[in-house]
Amino acid sequence: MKGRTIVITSGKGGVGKTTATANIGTGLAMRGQRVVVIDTDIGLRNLDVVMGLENRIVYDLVNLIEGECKLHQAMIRDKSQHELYLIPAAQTRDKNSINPDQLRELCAKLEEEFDYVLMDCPAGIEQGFKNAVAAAKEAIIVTTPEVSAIRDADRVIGLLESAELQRPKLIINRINPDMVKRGDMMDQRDVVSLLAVDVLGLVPADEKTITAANKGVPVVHDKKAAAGAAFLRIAARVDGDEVPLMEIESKSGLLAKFKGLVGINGSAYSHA
Amino acid sequence: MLEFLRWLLNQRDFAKDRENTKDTARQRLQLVLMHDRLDLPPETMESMKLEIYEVVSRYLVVEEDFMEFEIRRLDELMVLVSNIQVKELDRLVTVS
Repeated sequence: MKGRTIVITSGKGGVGKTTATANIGTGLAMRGQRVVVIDTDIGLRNLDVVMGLENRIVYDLVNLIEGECKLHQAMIRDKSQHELYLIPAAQTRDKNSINPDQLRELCAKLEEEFDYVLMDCPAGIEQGFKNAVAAAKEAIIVTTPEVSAIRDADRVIGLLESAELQRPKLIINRINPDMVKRGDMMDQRDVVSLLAVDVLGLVPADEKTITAANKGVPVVHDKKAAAGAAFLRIAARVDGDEVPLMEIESKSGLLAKFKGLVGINGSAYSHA
Repeated sequence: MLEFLRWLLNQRDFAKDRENTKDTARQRLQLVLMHDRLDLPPETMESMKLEIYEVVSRYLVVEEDFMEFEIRRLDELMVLVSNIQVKELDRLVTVS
């Protein structure tokens, strides 16, 4: 087997890299693929809590790379998906604990065993980013429709091009359809015209993403949630299915409009 | 009732005057990204500066130390700005 190694990156922090990694990984596993997700954000471990696996950690990425444990000892099996594993980041080390060659070697080994190796990249463009990018063959960029996130995404796209990765694909996260409708948030066309990359998916802002993370169950399990459905479609596209992009629309029925008028927070979005 | 109509009219006027902040965002980003992408390495800027100096000094006696040489934003354009001090106005280099 020869799996695909994909880095999920953004430049700017807090745009949803970890959420995207957890959900795409889970989504791919739900489709029957064998998946391993690696948290490469050494010192700032997070993917474990988003996936609800924080209590099962014994060994981490640095232990594994330094040969203190065997491969299967550092891989934590997901609670619901039996073909989904997590390699957590070390929490008490710094990002210089590993180098690009070591991570590349590990990913090459994992590719033999898994269909997908997904790496959650740390924010920024320093060593942690360089490690993850060096080990990856493909890249997914996550951004939100905000000026700061888009600017950083553009910078990262430039760096990925010079690292000779395959054309990166873009996820636009936390789209607020009401704001888009009002003309107060850039839509996918605006973002694409600025960044000139292919879109992999559009994810609406959805409270369910947060409640899912609270529980440690990625939102992709909830197909009724707009963001969950969006991530499942993204996983399908990653996996090679042709799934058309859907516009993110607000539920602008009479009731929703009325609620908006009288100031009731009726932020129910139909999905993308 | 009259009050309500007045309020409705106000709402409409307000909507008309109001700019779409996403257009502002997009336009600002266009320039910022252009600037970021154009970020030439210092060595490239230096060699460009030297070449421009060579060309200009074929025609004028100029100060080698450029007062200004940079790429910057001018309203909606990216411009290369260079101010070069001409040293001796009356003694132009003879064009061969």
